[in-house]
Amino acid sequence: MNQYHLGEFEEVVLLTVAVLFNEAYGIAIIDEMENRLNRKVSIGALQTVLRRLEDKGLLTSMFGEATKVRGGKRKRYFTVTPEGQKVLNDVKNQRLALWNAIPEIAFN
Amino acid sequence: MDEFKNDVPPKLALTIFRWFCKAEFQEDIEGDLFERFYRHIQEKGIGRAKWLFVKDVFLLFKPILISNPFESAQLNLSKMKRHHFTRFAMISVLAIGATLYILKNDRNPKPEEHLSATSVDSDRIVPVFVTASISKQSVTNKEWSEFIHFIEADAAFSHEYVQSMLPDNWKMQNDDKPVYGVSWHQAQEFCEWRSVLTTYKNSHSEIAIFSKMLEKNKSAKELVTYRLPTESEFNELITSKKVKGNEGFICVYSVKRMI
Repeated sequence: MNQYHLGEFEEVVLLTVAVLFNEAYGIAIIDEMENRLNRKVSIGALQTVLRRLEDKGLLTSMFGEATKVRGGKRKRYFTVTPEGQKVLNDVKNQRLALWNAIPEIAFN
Repeated sequence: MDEFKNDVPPKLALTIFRWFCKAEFQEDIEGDLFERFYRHIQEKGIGRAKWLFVKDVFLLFKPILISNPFESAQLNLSKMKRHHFTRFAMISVLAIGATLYILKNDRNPKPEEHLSATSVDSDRIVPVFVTASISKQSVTNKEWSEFIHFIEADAAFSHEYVQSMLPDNWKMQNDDKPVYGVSWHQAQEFCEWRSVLTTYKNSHSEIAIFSKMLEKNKSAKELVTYRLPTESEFNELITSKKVKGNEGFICVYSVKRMI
């Protein structure tokens, strides 16, 4: 059992940050989630989860460049920490173990 | 981005966001809000983009993102540290300002039927020179009479509208005495009409119907605007004894010279 309990939205955000790799900042994460998962995400909901994951040590962040379209404000890029990667792996293994434990007859 | 330089997010929402958001999160979240706002303008138009901006700010109101404005500050002003006092004072001023702004806007709702001189400014190039002055002469019965004759003669204005523009106890006076019994809304409509008329007359020898003048003014090199004075402008005139409070109403006149 891993040390942290990840909520569904936290897991999705963590995975999306990993998908975007070096390009994961607020709006890019929202776009990726909306495109891939077909769900609406507000800036408020995302920022709350990003800060919580950062507090837990699963994400780390650094400032990037400022652009005109952002009113001269810098982007904050997020990356998954080794601890975050470990948690994601644990969650994935748990899921796989559960899927593998389903008897073949159950879904027929 | 350049095409949106005049489209700015709602200032009040932005001020509220800057007030409640923790300083360490403010820069990047504000950048995200701006980026989303400008994208919404392209996709959904300015009106909807502004509304979505306000909604985004509202949805950012989460405990993890909110700073505590009274954090470690004692509400005893004499013991309060200087930076806490500054913050406390700013929050108080903002709260009072926001309340007054809301009250002011509620008190003066815009009626449905009105002259739309303000559309003269839409899609225009940037003004390079603006001069403004406050007329010390009150609007006269003669000027009001011209206004009434004009809207009576223009078929675009309904009979009800013309009737609604008659001041209290109006007897079609045509003298140079100040006009009395004018409501705020009537004065606003008069100023808008006068703005369109004066702008048009500066480049044309004869006047036309209102809609035509409005259309022609879109290409005018000089835009004349008349408006009612603000409360502070009016108080300044009264205290400097340039006008008396009981002499009808006056207009603030400004000219924008376009590139």
